Amino acid sequence: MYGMVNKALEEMVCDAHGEEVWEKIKLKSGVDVDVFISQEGYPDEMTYQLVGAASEVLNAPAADLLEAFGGHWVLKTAVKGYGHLMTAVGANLKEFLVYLPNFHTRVSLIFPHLNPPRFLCSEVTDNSLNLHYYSDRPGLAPFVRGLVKGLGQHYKTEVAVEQTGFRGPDLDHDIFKVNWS
Amino acid sequence: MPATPLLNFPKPLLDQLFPYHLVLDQNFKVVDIGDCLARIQPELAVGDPMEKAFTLERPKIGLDFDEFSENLNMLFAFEEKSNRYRLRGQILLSEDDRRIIFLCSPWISDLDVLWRLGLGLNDFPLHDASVDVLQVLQSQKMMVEDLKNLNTRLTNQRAALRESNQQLLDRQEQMRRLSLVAAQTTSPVILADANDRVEWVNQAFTNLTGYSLEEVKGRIPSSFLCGPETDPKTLEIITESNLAGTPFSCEIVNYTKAGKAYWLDLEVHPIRDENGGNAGFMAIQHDLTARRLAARYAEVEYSITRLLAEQQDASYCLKALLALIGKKMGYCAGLFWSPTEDKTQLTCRHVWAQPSIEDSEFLVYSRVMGFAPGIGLPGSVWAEAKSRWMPDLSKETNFSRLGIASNSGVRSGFGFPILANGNFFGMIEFFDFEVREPDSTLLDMFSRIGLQIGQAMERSEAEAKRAELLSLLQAIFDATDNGIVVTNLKQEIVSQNQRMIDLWRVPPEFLNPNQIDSLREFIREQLVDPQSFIDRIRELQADPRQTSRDVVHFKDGRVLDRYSQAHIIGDHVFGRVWSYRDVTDQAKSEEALRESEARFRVVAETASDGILTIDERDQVLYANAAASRIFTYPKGSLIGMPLQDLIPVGISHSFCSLQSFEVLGLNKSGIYLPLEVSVGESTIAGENQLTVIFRDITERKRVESQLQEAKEQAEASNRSKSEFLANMSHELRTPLNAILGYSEIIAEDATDNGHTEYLSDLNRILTAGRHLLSLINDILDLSKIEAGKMIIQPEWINVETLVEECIATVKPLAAKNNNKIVVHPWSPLGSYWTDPTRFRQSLFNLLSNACKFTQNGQVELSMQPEMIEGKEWTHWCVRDNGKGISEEDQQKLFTAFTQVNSSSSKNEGGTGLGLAITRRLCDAMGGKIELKSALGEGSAFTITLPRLKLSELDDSML
Repeated sequence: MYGMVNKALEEMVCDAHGEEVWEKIKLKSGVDVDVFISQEGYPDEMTYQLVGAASEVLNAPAADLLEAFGGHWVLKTAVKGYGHLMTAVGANLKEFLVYLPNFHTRVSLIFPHLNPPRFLCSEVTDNSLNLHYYSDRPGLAPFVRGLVKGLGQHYKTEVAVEQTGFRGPDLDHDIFKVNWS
Repeated sequence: MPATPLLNFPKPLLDQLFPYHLVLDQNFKVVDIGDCLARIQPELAVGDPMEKAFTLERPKIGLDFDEFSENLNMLFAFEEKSNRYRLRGQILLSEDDRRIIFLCSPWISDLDVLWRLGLGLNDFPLHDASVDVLQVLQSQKMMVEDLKNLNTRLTNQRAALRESNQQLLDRQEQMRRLSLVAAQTTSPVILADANDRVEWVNQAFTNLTGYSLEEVKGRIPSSFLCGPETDPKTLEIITESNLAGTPFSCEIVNYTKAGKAYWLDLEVHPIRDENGGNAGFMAIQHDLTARRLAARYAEVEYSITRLLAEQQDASYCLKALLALIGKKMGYCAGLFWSPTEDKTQLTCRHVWAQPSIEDSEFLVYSRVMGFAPGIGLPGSVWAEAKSRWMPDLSKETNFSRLGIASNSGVRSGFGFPILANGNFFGMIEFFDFEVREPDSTLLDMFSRIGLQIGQAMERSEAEAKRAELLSLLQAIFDATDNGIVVTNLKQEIVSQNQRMIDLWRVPPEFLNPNQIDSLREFIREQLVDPQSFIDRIRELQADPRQTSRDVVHFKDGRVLDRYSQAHIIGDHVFGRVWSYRDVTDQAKSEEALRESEARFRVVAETASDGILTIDERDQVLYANAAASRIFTYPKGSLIGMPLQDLIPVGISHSFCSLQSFEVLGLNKSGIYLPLEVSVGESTIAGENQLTVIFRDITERKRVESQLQEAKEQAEASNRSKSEFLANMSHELRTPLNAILGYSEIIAEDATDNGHTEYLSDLNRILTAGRHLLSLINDILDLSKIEAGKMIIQPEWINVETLVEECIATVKPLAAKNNNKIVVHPWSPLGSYWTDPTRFRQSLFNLLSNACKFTQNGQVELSMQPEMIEGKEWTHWCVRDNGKGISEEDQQKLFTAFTQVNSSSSKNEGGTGLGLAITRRLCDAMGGKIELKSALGEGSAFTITLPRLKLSELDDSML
């Protein structure tokens, strides 16, 4: 997993609960990394362990945590890390979401070891689209939902995200119906 | 080269593939521009020269179609002129129409450029790797940021590590010190393991209990420290607390290895392992023996302090003090010794003892003994002025009472001095039946007690002196002639003496504090100006520290001097002391003095004579207006001047004996003035002062000089006149003698020849001639005298003979006026030293005058000798009982050419020079002539002459 994700998780916990709680979470997760390198790949288990431990320490469901984490990722981590690049990706939510597949394609080409997810947009209209999320990492759909909601906040656009397709035996990815106004 | 097929692409397709393309003609004018480039470069239109917006940065070639054609394999870079961004790409040429096709995209080295140009990722064709470069750039930025964070984290961790290391070192040091403290502390310490078995004890534990570490290691403390007196309940509490792992403390009795019980304060702290489990305990013991003893000492000390504080006279409580210490400390006897008056030895003043040895030999003898400094316990404490312990009297070399002490069972003792501020008031000694080892704590305590007693005794002495002083002050207060009243800050009377009451004549009932209003009214009524009296009090009330002096006038004429000053103790004002003194007489004297002084000033200032007052330094203290005027100085400027500047010869006290004298003064202009000066001296305020009164006698001197000159001229004229008269008389007398001689011869011849008819005329000539001769002789004598030519020629004569001749000569004259001459006899004088001619002339003048101016009377002559100042004088007195001479006439009787009555001279004859000549003759002979007479009572002329030769008289007889 992208080190930036773990780092974002750390920032979110530290901002909200302080460094001691993060240390507890790390202790609980067994993750002994002091500093996550943003563009470095880390084992996915590490992220899962951190999320699981945070859920325990903070006494919050992992799904809620991930969703909150998605919002934090967009509003704090990405804005801080990418700066103008975020603006360059799209002038509005739709443009951003539509560019998202290419963006991840470019990431996968530039950092082939990161194994980033894939996105696909379908049924794109002026105020909705279907976002298809393909990932080898299970359980991160709430994170994507949080991401999209965060993007809505970023673009000051009211957005509704509904997962319409769930990864499972019959479907190899998750589908989110995104509506905005 | 054929034209590039690209130019045949439809414009939208070309824009999609190359949204930043630029097509130029051979003159480098814009032919076509990609849609994205047109958006970011809106001012560049078709037909514009390329250079309007761009410069060719690379390669460095000119804008020349051919040159471009030769560099087609080069990467081209154009720089935009205003936004300074670059276009990078490849050049293609169309030879047919000589077009230049620049397929490029903006070179984005920084996301800011993208943002500045307003471009998004969608503005780049998908094949354009610029977006990827951007992402890589962004990733690089993030990486750098991560590295910075990592560095910061590492730095912080290193600092924390250093701090942690230091803390660790500190803790190690702390542990080391704690171990050291535990090992070396005077409090016994036990460390036990989780099973309460001893692991370690310190040296203090061994010292107290006698158990070594080896002896107790592995044993449970209670198993060897507790004994019969150890409280089982306390032991239970200890066990429970250990089990619960809670710290506790208690007092408990333990036993030493030797079996001696001792009280201790036990403090137990459980020790926890890392997991919070029981790892044993640490027990700290505090031996309470010393504390309990100290408590006893403190109780004794407190009791003594209280006793001393409660008892005014320290010496009276000494006996009680001996008993208190003796009983509480368990001694058998205590004695107080103090120096004799001559301070040669200490004698016993008080004794306390347990009943068993009250009458012992030791105390009986001690009561009557005396110790010189350095001798025995009392003497050595006195000599060294410090405490002395004798633990075993039998081993002491300087304990003279050893024998009787041993007989009484006394074994040990100690003494301490009673001192205060270095003064030795005495010493106290205590004795014990047991041998007692020296106890420095106890000795320290008794040293303190000694100081306390000393201070108390010193206080007692000071108190006695203070009482004496107060008594003295009260006596002075009552005996002083001043009325004194003390008031507080509220102006209430605190105290007053009897003299005050007497001075103010206050009725006794007004002295009652309840009668203060009546008293005030009474005071007001007595005063001439009560308001100013009250105002003054209020002024002083407003300024309590002020000192004041004024006078208070009573209606009855009395005057009181009022002095007041604040009653201050330290810095605090308590009130005011008023002192009243009757100065009525003094005030009257001062008034009289002021009047006298005013009068003196008026007199001095209006006096025409100058007045100066001179101090001991000869400087002018006072000068009146006349002094300033005489010395021509402005008024007031003479004050302080040296007297020598005014009177150069100076004036000293010796001048005071002179009535007056003349000196030269010097005025401001430097002119000398003759001054007539008189000087008086006085002592004022212990200083001798001279008062110089002087008068400018310049004018008088001038007049005197003129008078002297006139006098001398007159005297010269007189002398000339006398000389003239003498000469003239002489010249007259010679022919007159011839006239008389020849007249007598003619008369004789006429008688002889019988020519009697001529006799009467001849007699008239003779009479007139003789009168004239007599007159001329007188004038001649007077002239001689006044011309200074009369010479007295004394010689030894027989005066009686001479007197007889005079009487015989004057008899006819007496007979003529029917007068009787009576000579009163006297003892013959014998030799008599005088000028016989002038004596005869003088006596004859008096006799003949008496006979001439007395009718039918009596003329008496008497002589009276008299010794005056050892010299013999003779008074020749001619007395008549004629008509006498008036007082007025007596004044001019002796003046030349004067007769008392001109008619008399006419009647009686004479020149009027007789008495004037007689007086001058008497003066010339060293005598005098006096007259006593009254009208109708006759006259008495007395010539007083010395009888014998007197050298001084001789010398003056010129």
